[in-house]
Amino acid sequence: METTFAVHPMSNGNGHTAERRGIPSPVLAIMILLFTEVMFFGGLISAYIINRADAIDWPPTGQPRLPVERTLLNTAFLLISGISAYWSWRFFKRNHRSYLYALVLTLVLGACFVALQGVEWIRLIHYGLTTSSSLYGAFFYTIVGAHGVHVLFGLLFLLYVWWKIEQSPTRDQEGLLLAGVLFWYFVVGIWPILYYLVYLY
Amino acid sequence: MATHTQSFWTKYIFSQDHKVIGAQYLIVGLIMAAVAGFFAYVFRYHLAYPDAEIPLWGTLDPRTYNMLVTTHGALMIFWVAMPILVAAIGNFLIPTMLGTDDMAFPFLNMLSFWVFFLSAVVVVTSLFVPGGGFDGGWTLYPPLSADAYLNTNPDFWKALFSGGSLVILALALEFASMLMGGINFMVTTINKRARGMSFSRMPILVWFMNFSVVTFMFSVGPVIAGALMLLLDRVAGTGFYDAYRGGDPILFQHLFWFFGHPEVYVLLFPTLGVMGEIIPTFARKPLFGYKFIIGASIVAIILSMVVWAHHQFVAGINPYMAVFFSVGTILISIPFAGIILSYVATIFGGNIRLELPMWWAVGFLATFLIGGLTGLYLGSNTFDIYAHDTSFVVAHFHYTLFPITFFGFFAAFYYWFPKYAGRMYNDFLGKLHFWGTFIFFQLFALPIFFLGLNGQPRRMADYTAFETLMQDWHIQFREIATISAILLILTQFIWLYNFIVSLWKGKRVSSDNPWQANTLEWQAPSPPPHGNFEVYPEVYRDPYTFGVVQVNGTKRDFIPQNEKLPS
Repeated sequence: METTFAVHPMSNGNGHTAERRGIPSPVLAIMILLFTEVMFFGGLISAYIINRADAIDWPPTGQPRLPVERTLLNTAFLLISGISAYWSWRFFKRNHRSYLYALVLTLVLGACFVALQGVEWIRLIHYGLTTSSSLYGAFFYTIVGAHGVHVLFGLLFLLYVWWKIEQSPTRDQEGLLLAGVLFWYFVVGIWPILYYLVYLY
Repeated sequence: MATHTQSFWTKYIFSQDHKVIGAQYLIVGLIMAAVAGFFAYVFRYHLAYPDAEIPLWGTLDPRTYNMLVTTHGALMIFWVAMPILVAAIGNFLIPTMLGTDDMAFPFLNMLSFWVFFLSAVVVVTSLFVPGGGFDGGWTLYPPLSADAYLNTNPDFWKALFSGGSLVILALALEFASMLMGGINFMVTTINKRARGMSFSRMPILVWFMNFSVVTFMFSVGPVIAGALMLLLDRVAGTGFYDAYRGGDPILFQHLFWFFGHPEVYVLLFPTLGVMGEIIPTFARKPLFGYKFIIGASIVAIILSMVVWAHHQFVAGINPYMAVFFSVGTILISIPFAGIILSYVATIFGGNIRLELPMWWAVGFLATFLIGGLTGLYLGSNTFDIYAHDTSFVVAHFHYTLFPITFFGFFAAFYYWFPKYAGRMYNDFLGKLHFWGTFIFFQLFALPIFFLGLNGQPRRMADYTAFETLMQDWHIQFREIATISAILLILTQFIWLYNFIVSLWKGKRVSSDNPWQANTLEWQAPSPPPHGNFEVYPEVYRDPYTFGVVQVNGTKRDFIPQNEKLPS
């Protein structure tokens, strides 16, 4: 049986070895990474649920109420950025220059999300919810903070992808863009679960 | 061939060549092994002669004893076994065995090593910060590690630059490094195989390396979450593990062992892969049950995710759950027994060549057997409740991890040294090294089983206050273990001498394929240049075609993977 081979443009530059067609390497790498990320958030969430089940009162008395409505608006920003990330990839696939507008929209909405989360954090600290004030605060800052770090990393990753595409604007960068978009999907996709568990549940 | 120029810095220090990165991992791992081995010498000496001054060290107080034991465990697992078995062997072998020039992401590969190097620097630094190194056991259990009740409002920087926090940070860096390396291994395996190298024609070692990193990546997430919470307990006063404030110290044990148990298989799989290459080559027989071994490993990976609480039988878990975890633990011995028996079946009836790597392979099977069988005892909660935290456990995991790490590494070392150095080692010194290691290891670890069964607890600096643990035979067994451990360490200098002298002055190998093996790395020049192959090979068959055949009128008992036979 004969398999078709081609020197994949995503290979490491010296172009000597045949890289298989199929899933491009950056996409594969991100898929494997996300597998670990799911387990990481799984660990945090299970720790949260177990500690919460043991708690006598939740949220503890005297601790401020979490900003449910403002964060709902923020959630909408993040979800829209997920859609624009999808369109960015679709436009790029069709060789459309307008992929850039969608990508910039994603970056702006993602940055808005981080900024608004930061503002809410400052208000909450002001109201007396800190990492050491109660387990409630500790879990809030740990889970939301871990997600926030992932949003920041996702933004940096998309910026890097943008820079790489500007350096050599060919369709071969499709795999790299898809990798960035996939990571962004994860960041967007896990947020409603965390929002439900931390703010609503 | 790759033609881009390399300066000294890009060739040896910030190299993106998988072989140089493998060597860097190996060197750092060996230096850490020397440090951890020296610690072992110090506290073993103290156990045998509690009142004596320790040569090269001086006196030892109980706190420092605990610190040395803790650091010995953490270093040996995360900074010796992980880099040597997974990173170094994987980096050297995966691209060459797959017949390609390098990893899928050479830059990520380099980054992975330097993050690992940073983690090694951080963990060594943790020994010298004010307050001393961490002394609460390598498992980092709170409350010893969390200082929770002291730390409702800790000084952030002071808490960060303490022994415990730095160990956690170093672990986080090490996990990040292994994650990058693991992603690289898997993507390389999926996307960069040579022409004709289907998954079912891959050498078993490449399969095992991928099983190893899959197991790692599946299990490492929860322990990163647990370690993050532990670090926050220390530096931000969160109290996740502080029972007084509503936290749960047992939670850390669950998150830790959810990773900690699969971690054993992360280390075991590369060694099983090494044995799976060496045994068919020196038995001159195809590997018995190639597909069975792959299937059994997958079963073992799945089972390994649901056995973690067998480390916690005395931590107050529900007895019904303990039965569940006991059954899972004992079930997991079935796939591993199948793999080991497949190796024995490969040897059986073979045309055995007892070269040095084969000695190490057989030595591994014999030694690891004892570790595996005592694991069955400890996996059963009825026995474990009595043996928990005794020296029996210490002897058990030394009987598994020592053969995995050192027999596995030395087998791989002697087997592939002619390929990657282009020179031959001294066979006599190698045999001396094997017999020294084999005999002194048994003499070191066997007595500890009996001491443990007699009730000697682990992690205790001095037994002189306990009359029942100070009978004549107890003292003699401790002395035998200590003297053997010292001789075991001294034996490794034979290897070091052999390694260094052979690297510069060893006899050049006359053939690129001195063991007459079939896998692709033997078809590359010795040592393989940057880019590995002069002509990239194409694969026509599975890697274990041994047995007498007639090729072009001459009799041979092996056909390399890339040799095209006239039809």
